[in-house]
Amino acid sequence: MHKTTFRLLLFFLFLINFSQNLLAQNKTLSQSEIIKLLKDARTNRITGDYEKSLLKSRVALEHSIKNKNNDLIANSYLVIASNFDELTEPLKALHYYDLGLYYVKKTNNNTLKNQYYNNLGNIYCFDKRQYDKGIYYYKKSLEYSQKVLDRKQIFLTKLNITWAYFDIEKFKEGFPYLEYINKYQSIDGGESTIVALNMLNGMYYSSINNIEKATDSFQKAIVFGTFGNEKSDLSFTYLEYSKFLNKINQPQKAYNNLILYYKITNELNIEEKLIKANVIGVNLEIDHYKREIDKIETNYKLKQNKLIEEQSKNKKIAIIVLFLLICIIIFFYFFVQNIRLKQKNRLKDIQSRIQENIINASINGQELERKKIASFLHDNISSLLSSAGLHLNVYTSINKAQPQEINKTKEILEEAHNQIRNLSHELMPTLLVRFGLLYALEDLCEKTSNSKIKIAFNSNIAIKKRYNEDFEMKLYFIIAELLNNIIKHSDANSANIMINEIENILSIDVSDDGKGFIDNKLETNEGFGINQIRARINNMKGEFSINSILNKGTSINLIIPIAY
Amino acid sequence: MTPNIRIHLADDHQLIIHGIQTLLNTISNFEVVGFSLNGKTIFEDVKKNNADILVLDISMPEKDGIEVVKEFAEKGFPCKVIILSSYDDLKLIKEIMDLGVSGYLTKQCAGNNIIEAVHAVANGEEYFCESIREKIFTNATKNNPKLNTYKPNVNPLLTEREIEIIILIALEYSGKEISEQLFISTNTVETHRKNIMKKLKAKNTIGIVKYAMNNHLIIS
Repeated sequence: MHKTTFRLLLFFLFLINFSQNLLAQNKTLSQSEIIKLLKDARTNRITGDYEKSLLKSRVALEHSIKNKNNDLIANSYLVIASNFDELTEPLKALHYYDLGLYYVKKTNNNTLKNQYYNNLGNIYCFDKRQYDKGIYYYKKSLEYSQKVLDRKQIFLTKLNITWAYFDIEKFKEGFPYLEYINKYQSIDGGESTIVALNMLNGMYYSSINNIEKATDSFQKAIVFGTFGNEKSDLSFTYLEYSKFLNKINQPQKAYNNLILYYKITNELNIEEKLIKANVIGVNLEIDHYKREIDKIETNYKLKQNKLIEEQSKNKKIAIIVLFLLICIIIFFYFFVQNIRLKQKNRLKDIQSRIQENIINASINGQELERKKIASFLHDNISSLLSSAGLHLNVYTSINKAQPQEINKTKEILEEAHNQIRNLSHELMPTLLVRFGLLYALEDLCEKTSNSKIKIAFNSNIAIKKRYNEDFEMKLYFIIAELLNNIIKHSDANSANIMINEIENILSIDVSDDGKGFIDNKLETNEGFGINQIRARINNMKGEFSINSILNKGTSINLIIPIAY
Repeated sequence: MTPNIRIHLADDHQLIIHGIQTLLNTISNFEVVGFSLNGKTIFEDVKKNNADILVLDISMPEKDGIEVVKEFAEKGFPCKVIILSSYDDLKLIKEIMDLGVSGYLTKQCAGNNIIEAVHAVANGEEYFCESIREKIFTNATKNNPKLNTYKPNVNPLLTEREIEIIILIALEYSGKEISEQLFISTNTVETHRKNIMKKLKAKNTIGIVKYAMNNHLIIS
């Protein structure tokens, strides 16, 4: 049984699972398609096609969410955010980095993590000027770039960290990083970093008041910057150099450098503004995308909520089903127990019936033997004894003499005869044999009555009515046994036997006014006798009931179908 | 010379019949004229051999003594009946006496009393062997507080039965009651009473009561 329930359970679980799968099925792009889409979006971004890039990355995001692929979701956000980054919309970019960060953290993609943290560091340091936070993200980025062993990235990040520290004048903290980049500039660095590196060196030497080296570094930076492409770095170099010159009391030079800084910054800003002006047309659209992207997220969340709701609904159903199953199992358990109990009872019943049969068989045998012995004693032994007595009398009669030995013998014979007769009578009362049950019972009552107890006999049946001999004998001995119990145990002053015949049934009441007993005591005290009586009555297909009240008396009722 | 008393025996034990026959034959005017081993043919047998007295056992195969006596009562007694049985139950005795039987003997006292019984019954009296008679009397007077258990026989003329009747009369039993209690006919009671009066030289029943009280037969 347990096996089948287990199978049922499995079946239900399968059903639940299956239904969930059905619900989840929708038209979604495959992962490889999404990857391709993102690659395109990235290319679009690099070529300055921000609008296309945003459109593609938005679609990629939607399907990534449907696919529940955290890696792809994070990648999509990264592309979107970096688009905004390029559009100098740092706040929007930050918004998407933050959203993407949630998914990145769920993945094991260290490269992606590195990118995220690096970009975040950039935004915090350069745009929001929150250096502590920026340095924190840089360091995280560094951690992941070390994990993926991206030497170039390590180098760049360390450069960024140095710069961030120097910007907030924490030269000591920044120095180890500066050392590193100085050491590896020739291997991992390049044209793009040489300006910044020299500028940072200048800043460092300025901080430790090494004027010579500082001047040297700044001028190197200016030279590299003037002939290279890193105009932004060059502008910063001019700024820092100006600060340095100011510090060493060369205000004229400082002013000149500051002018140069403003000049380049202005040029860069104009460039930026131009880019912005180009995209200003799409700006509105960008906002629109932003809203749509947000919508994707909220839709997704709604769907997810729905899904969760459905899942919880399914869970509820599953719980109900489980509960029902448990109920059924419990029910089955009790059912089986009940059957077992019934079987046990039946077995007990059979056992008690067997016992009853044994008792009855032994009683029947006993009665048969009783009858046999009684009639043998009465008919044969008794006759032999009296015949012997007769012959002794013949002897004395003929010889006209009374020899003492003969008389003694006669007395002995007579005594033997008496004892035989008493025994025979006890075994099988004469009146029962001759005149039947009622006659014998009436006589029994009279003979048993004495000064201590009066036993009354009442019946609505003609006193000499006869029934089947065995039936009479059985009933007689049952009632005799009950009377015997009364005399032995009840301390009663009076008892009453009432026998009535009602439509083929004998109703027999045996009652007394004795001390009574508690029902359950009966089993132990007089158990055997009562059990035997019960067995005999069951065998006669009769009913037997005892009603006893402590100190009031006992009444026993027998209902027996008559056998003629 | 008085005519022989013709006796028929009925018992299912040949041994008993032979014993009784031998014993009765020791008396000169007793003549055992026949015997039956079962109850079926007794009525015819007794009629055929013209017996005066039937000595009858109760437990017999096919038709027991009680049935035989019932048959007699129905058809008219062809002779007097003495029961010789090992039963000594008073109820049984009463039942069978009420059917018109004249004497009752138990097998224990058969040897000692059968001759006496045949004589008594032949004389028209009713007869019980001693043990039965005592049992009947004890039963009749049981639980009577006035009865003196000690029974002195002061007058050697009186028989045991006559003393019993004196006691019962003194206990205010009527003639009919006495006959019922002692399983004898009212006629027999009357005969006993007359004999007692003669023996005590009493003029009426009061004399008998007086005798009983004077001799402490009952507690006054």
